[in-house]
Amino acid sequence: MSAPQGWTRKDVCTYTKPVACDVASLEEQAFSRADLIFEGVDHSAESFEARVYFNNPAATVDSGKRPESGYAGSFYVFGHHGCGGDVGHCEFKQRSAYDPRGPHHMRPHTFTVVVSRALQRLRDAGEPLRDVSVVPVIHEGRDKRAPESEQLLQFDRMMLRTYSGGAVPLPLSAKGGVETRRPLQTRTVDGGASSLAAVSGIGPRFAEELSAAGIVSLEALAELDLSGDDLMRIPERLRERAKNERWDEQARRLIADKPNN
Amino acid sequence: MPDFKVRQSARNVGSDAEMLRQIFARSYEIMDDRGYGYLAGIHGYPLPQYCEHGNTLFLPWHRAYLNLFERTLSEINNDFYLPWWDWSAPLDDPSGIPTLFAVEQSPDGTANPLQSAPMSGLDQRARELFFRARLSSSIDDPRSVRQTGDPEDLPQADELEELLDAPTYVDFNARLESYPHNFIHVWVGRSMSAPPSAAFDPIFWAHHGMVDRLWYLWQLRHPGAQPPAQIIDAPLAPFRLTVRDVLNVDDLGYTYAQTEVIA
Repeated sequence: MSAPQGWTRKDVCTYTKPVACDVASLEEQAFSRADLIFEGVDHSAESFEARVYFNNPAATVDSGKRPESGYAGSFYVFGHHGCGGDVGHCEFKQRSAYDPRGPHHMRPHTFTVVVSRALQRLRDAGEPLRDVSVVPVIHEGRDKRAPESEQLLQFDRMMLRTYSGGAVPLPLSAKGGVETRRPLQTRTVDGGASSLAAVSGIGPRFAEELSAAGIVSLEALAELDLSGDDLMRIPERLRERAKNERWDEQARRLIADKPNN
Repeated sequence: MPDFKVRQSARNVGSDAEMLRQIFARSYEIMDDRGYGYLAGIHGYPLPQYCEHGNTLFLPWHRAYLNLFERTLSEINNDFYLPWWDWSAPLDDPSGIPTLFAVEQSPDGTANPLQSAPMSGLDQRARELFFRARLSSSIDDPRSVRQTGDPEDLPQADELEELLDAPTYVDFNARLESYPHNFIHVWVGRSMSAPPSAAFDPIFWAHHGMVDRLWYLWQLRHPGAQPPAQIIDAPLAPFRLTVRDVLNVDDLGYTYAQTEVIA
């Protein structure tokens, strides 16, 4: 069982990643909200809470949820708890967009933890965000314990996304059926992922639509082959642009050109 | 409109409590597609597992599911309505679960059918899996079981108020699913803690009644805000409904008795 890229594992399956985020720079943007987004979270085993800590790489299941411990928030995984089918039934397989069954029931999930207050605390204290730790916690009635399986918490990547400018309602669409509020300006500050809006042709609104379709990062876009069936994963009204402007190739180039690669 | 349902808080069902217990108990005895085992099995086991989690269909799918449950149990008694569990309301039982669903005995001294339900319709493999994973009481005669957390950990009204301020459907749906929805499944524990077994616990229906009610309240606060265009005509299998069909609770024949968060 290997840790996600850039993460260090300890204590069965607690993970820490250095992020080196200068919180003071966020102040200049007057951000109104900050999210930690965990992509590719496995939910095949038992249910658990994943607690997120800032600047506390020694965090454990006993660290509690007080602000002094660096606790930033939690997400909760509603775990499938084993497989009741034949061999392979619960092994995730990507399905074609033409498959009438829809997505596989073990498709990894994405979780968002709103961490605005925790970041505010760091800013007020004049501290940078040095690292993020994720501690899985098993609930057994009133008791909480660490998991026994090192495979309980599995995820692909994490993004820290800040929002600035506030949510400004726009006039409702005449047709309806579309998110009608202006997407907040977003900025990805984690070194491991980048904003979809870095791709030429994708603005905040398209990025929001792609996120709603499960394509929440540059890395997720780069994994697609828009010359084939993957094009069907793009929202229908964006497909022609996505194909003509080769958003997948752009995403791969942007990732390859990043300084750390 | 005699068919129109006005859902009530589980704390406020008053003299309807006995009716609700009788209807649930009767549904346990029905072994065809009008019975509790069939309805609970749609969510998870027996396969196929239809429930939608971790995507933007989470709220619409469960709204359709609750609608089917409410309409099917209304065939037993048309006065039936779905009660909701407001997790943030003052406790009426020390366990943290509403008294209606928490007490082991009904007033007449018999077992309370809302505290535990039979898990009928499962094959041998599912019964063994559930028992090994502590999701049921036994292999041969499985029933739903709980292991509840600390009532002090239940969601607070201000947390729900903050959630209702989520600016978009996508944001609201995703955050609500993780907390309080997933959290409550973890907090109730055992049968409720896994999608394949969760709907067999009677508290599942009151829990999702509250989830659906929060969506209803969010819709009232954000008039005109819709799910993304790419899901608006998505089917909600196995129901004969699309996302568009379930956006207005009035169209589904029900509403909620109160519009404030705290019951």
